Amino acid sequence: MQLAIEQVSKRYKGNQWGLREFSLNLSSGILGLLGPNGAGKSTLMRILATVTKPTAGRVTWNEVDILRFPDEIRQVLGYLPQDFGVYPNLNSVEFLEYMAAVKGIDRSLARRRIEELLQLVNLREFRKRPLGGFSGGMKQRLGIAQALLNDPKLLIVDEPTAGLDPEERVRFRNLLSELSGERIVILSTHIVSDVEAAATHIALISHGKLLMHAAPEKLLQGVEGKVWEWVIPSENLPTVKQKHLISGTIRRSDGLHLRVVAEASPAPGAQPVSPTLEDAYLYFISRSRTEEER
Amino acid sequence: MRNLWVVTKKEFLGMVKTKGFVIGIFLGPLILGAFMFLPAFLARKSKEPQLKMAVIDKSGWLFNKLDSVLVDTLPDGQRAYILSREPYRPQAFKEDENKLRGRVLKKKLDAYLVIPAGVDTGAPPEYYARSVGNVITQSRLENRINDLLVSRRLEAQGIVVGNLKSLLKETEIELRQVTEKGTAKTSFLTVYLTSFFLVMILFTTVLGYGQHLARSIVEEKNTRIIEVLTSSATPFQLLMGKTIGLGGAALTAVLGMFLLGFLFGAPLVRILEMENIKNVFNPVLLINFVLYLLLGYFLFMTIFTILGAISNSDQEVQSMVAPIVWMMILPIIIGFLVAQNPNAGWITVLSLIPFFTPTLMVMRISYLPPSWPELAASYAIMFFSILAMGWLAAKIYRVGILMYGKRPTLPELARWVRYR
Ligand SMILES: Nc1ncnc2c1ncn2[C@@H]1O[C@H](COP(=O)(O)OP(=O)(O)OP(=O)(O)O)[C@@H](O)[C@H]1O
Ligand SMILES: [Mg+2]
Repeated sequence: MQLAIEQVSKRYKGNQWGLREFSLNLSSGILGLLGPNGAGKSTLMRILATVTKPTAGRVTWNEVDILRFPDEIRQVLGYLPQDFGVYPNLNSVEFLEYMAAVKGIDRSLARRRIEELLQLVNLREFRKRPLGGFSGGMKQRLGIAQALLNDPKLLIVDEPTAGLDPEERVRFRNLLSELSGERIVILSTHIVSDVEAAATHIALISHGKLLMHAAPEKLLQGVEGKVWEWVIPSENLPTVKQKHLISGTIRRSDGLHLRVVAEASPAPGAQPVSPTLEDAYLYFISRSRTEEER
Repeated sequence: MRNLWVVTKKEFLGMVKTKGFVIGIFLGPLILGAFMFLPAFLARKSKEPQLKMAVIDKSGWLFNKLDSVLVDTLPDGQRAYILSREPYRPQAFKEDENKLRGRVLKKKLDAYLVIPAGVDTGAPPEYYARSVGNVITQSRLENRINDLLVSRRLEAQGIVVGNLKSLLKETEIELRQVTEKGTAKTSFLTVYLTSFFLVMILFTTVLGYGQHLARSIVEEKNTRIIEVLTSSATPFQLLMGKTIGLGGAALTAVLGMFLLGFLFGAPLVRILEMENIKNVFNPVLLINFVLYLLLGYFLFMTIFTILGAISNSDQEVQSMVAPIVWMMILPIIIGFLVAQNPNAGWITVLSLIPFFTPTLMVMRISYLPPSWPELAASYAIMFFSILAMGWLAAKIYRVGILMYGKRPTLPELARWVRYR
C-alpha cells in the first residue's frame, strides 16, 4: 500500500496558496498532520480525498494516478471533512444507511456494520433520534462512523476530535489505535496529544509546506535538551514572553513555573526537562517562522 | 445507475414522509376548491334571516302593492321580508322618523323605507338600515319598485298590464364551447376558474419544489456531506437523483390532489349543479397539464439548481427567488388577455418561450386548444431547452457544490461552465 504525493501545489482564488510543492510518501500506518490554522491541512486532505484537484503535482495510490483515475482511491476511501454536518431530518441509522447505499455497500452487510459502528462511537442509545437534535460532538462522532462504513484502506479524517468532550476524545484515541492493520490513516488536528499515542508518523505543515515528516520519537529527539523548566516571579512574564518560546505555565506559590523551549538554557536557574510532542511542535513551527522572516 | 436510484429514493421518501407533504395534498384542493365552489355554495346555502322593515309611504299608493309583490321566501319557506306600514304624519314626520331610527338601532327593526310623495316622477325612495351592504335586498327592492312604477305609468297611458315580468323577460346567453367532440355546455366563469386553478397548482408545485431543491443543495454544501457523497457518486448522479426524486414527489402530490379533488369534488359538482365543470376538466386538458407540469418542473429545476449551487445560505437562495416567481407569474397577470383572445399572435409567441410555456399553454388549452403543430412545437422547444439548461446547470452544480464563500460573478460562472 503506497500513497505518494509528489510536488503538489494548490492555488486558490486571488493568488492564495493552500499548498506549495508538497511531497510526502506514505505506507500503512497512522499519520498525524499537525500545523497552525491555515497551514494547508484541509487542502491536502481534500486533494487526497479527490474532492479538489491540485493546481500542479501528482498523487498516486499504489502507482495509479488518482487525478486521472479517482475511482481507484474512492473505492477504498473513508473521509471525514472538517466541520461535518448531517441531514437534520434523518436519524443515525437512516443517515448511515444512506451513506452506505451511496458507497455501494451491500444492505445486510451495511446493517451489521452500522450497529457495530454506532456501538464504537457510543451513539447506540440515540440511534432513532433525529439528527437535528444532536449536539456538535455527537454529529462529529456520527461523521467518524460514516467514514468507517466501508472499512477503508485509506482513512482521511480532518480534525475528528473537534468538539469532543475529554471522555469521547479518549474513546476516539483508543478507536484509532485499534484501527491498526493494513491501512493508511491520515488525521489532522491542532491538539498534539490526540496523535501522541497512536500516530506512527507526524507531518508538520505550515504555510502550505512540509516542515518535517518523522516518527514521534524522532521529533522528540530533535528537541532533546532544549526544554527547560524555569521559575520566575509572575510580574516578569510579559518580558520573558517576548524573548522566549513558552510551551507552558503553571502558577505555584513560589512563582510561575515556565516551560521554555530554547537552544540553550534561558537562565542560570533553569532545569532541563524531558520534552513532549507539544514542545517539539512549537519548536519546529516557530523555527520555520523565524527562518521565513529572515 | 445504482447511485442514481439510491439518491432518487432518498429524496423521494425524504419529501413524501414529511408532514407538510401530506397536509399539502389535502390543503391544495381544499383552498383551490374553495375558490371554485364556495361562491356557488354560499349563494345557495347562506341563511339570510327574515328582514323586518317599516315603511313610511308618503305617496299613499305604493305600500300595498309593494307588500303584495315582495313575497320572496327563505329556504325554509318563510317570507323573507316582513313589511309594516307606519302612518305618515306630515307635521310629526321628523319625530316619527327618529322613533324608527331608535327601533332600528335597538334591533327591534332591521330597516325602514321612506317612499317620497313624488316617487312616480323620479324621487328616490330612501332605505335606512344598520347594514347597507345587503345587495340582494337592495336589488330586489329596486326591481320590484321599478316594475310597479312602470306598470303605473303604463296604466296612466291607458295600457293595462297583467304580468309585467313576463312582458319584460330578459334572456341570458348560454356558452357552448366547440371542441373536436362536438359542443359542450360551459360558462366563462367555470373555464376561467379552472384554468386559474390548474395554473395555481403548477405555480405552487414548481416554486415549492424548486425552493426545496435549492435549499437541499445548500444544505449538503454547508454540512460538507456533498464532499463525502461525491467520492462515491458523480455530481450528475446526485443532481439527477435529487431532481427525479423530488419530481416524483411533486407528481405524487398533484395526482393525489386530483384524486382527492375528484373524490370530494364530484359529489359537490352534483349537489351544486355545476355539471358543466366536467366539460372543462376534459382529458385533453388534464393530460397536457400533467405533461406541461413535468416539463415546467424540470426546466425550472435547472434554474433552482444553479441558484442552490451558487448560494451559501437559505437567505441567499430566498433573495433570488423573486425573479423566478415573476417569470412564472407573468402569464397569470396577463391571464385575462389570454381569456379574451387565446390565439392572439403575441400570445402564441410568448407561449413558445420555454419559461412561459407551461402556464400560458395550460391557460390557452382551457380556453381554446391551440393547433396540434403548435402544441408539438411547444413540447419540442421545452424538451430541448431542458436539455440545454440541464447541461448548464449540471456544469455549474459540479463546481458550485465545492465552492464556499463569495457568490460567483457572471464571468466566474462562465469559467465554471468551461472547467473540465
Ligand atoms: N476555498 C478557498 N478559497 C480561497 N482560499 C482558501 C480556500 N480554502 C482554503 N484557502 C486558503 O488556503 C490556506 C490553507 O487552508 P486550509 O483550510 O487547508 O488550512 P488548514 O490547515 O486546514 O487550517 P485549519 O487548521 O484552520 O483548518 C489558507 O490560507 C486559506 O485561507
Ligand atoms: Mg482545516
